[in-house]
Amino acid sequence: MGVNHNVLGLVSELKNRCIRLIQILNSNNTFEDVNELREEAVERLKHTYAGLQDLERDQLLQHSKMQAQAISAYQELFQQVVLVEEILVPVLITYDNHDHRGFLWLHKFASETLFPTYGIPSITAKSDHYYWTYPDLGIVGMPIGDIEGILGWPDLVHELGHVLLAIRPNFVDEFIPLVKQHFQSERDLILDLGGHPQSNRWINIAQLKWGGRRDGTWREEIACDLIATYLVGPAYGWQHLRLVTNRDNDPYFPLPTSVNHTMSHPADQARFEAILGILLALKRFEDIKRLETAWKQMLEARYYGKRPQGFDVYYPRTLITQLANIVHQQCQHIGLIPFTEQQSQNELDIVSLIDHAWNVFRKTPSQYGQWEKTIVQRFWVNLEPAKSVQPE
Amino acid sequence: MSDLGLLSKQYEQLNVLLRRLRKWITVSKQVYYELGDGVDEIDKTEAVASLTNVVIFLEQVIPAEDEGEWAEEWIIDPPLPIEVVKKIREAHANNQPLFLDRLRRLTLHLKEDLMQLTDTDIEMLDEIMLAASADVNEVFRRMMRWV
Repeated sequence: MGVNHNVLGLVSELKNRCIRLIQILNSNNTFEDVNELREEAVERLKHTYAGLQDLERDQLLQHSKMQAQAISAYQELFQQVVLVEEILVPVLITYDNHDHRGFLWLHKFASETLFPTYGIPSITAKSDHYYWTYPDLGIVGMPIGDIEGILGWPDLVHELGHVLLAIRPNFVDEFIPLVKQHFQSERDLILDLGGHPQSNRWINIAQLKWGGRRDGTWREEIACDLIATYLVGPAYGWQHLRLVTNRDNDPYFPLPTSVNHTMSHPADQARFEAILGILLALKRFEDIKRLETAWKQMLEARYYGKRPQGFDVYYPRTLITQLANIVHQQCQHIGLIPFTEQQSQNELDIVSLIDHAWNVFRKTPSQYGQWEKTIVQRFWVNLEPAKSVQPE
Repeated sequence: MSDLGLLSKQYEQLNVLLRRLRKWITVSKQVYYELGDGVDEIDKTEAVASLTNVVIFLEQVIPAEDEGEWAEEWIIDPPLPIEVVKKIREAHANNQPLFLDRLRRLTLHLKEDLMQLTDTDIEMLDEIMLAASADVNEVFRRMMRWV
């Protein structure tokens, strides 16, 4: 049996799968919250089905000389089906009150911060790998424990940052020439003064990682940290510290000497410095001091203590500060309400609540658990007036 | 935060590249094997220019020991991701001089006319597309946590 013949069999099976999934989605009666998501999932499957039909009819790709192209085209369509089957279908068929609360949360947050309503994604509150988003599918995930746990909420705002960058792909374009300029100067410096034999490699890898092309992931991740800090303030810095403490990752990894190109996230230390950068733009000087002290204490109490050689070549402070200023300006430009202007009198507004939670956590840590339990119940009663929250 | 936000973006971007590569190489093979109803001149011009850029890039970066030796233009706008370069470099670790020679000849043939390509050139083009395809599939597997 020729490979292309085999592809025809695979195509035929995948067409059936598309139909089965459409039937499952159409027979699944869930909340109105996810009507659009269900329609999107069905549309994706129909589109993929049409693509499979085209592949079946494509005489050119049936040719024995086009085996590689036929398989590659099939694999792309297969992956489109998997995205729906393994991400969207489980979200839709298990959608319940927990997810509905996430939905209410997102809409309240968007109205508080003027986050573009057309960008509000659907949500699943049953994430099995912390907070995540797939902007192209219009979905974010949050861990179910955080529906009633406030401290982690800033990380949901980080995921909204990815969504914002997807709907505004040019948001940090101004940063690209700065990256080029910065690393060019670094290269010139090495030419003039000499440097570590590996310096040029570090500089080039760093430029790729900060750049705007396919390998450039650090700019996006840090931009999302900056957007989240702009919206929820120092609480994002405190949550970053909590996450680093909980996970115990090396805050300086990836290092220039140990970089793995598949590492998509920048070092936690660089992310922390970015958070401070935007707090500076927001003139939150006291918060910066407090965060710096706490971060230093955290580093001292852990195995990883010293800033490695070459770290500043990889994560230049000047670039991080420039990115912080660009994100600050862009957020203002599109009318997002910064944390500094959001501190309302209503303690049950999300941004106030997050800030308040972190203040209670820091000032009266032993009472935090009880305080959170009470306030979060009030929060949900307030947000779901028609339904009462069951007392324990 | 999980890697999904970044991986999904990377996956979408890599897929765009793969789709383009597939189209350019399909056009080249269509001309070379004289398949189908002929090729649109614009598609042909685009395929030749884009594939020439990819092949010149590979010709220059494959022999480089690491990214420190890449020319700045490739750092700013690499036509293929680093992972694809690594795959191809590793695959030809034992016959690099021969492979580079074939890349040089492929560049010449692309610049002349698609009809001037050889069976070896077509194999090389397929190999580049398959390396890009393997990279997309790897990112997809990581994204879906299949690995």
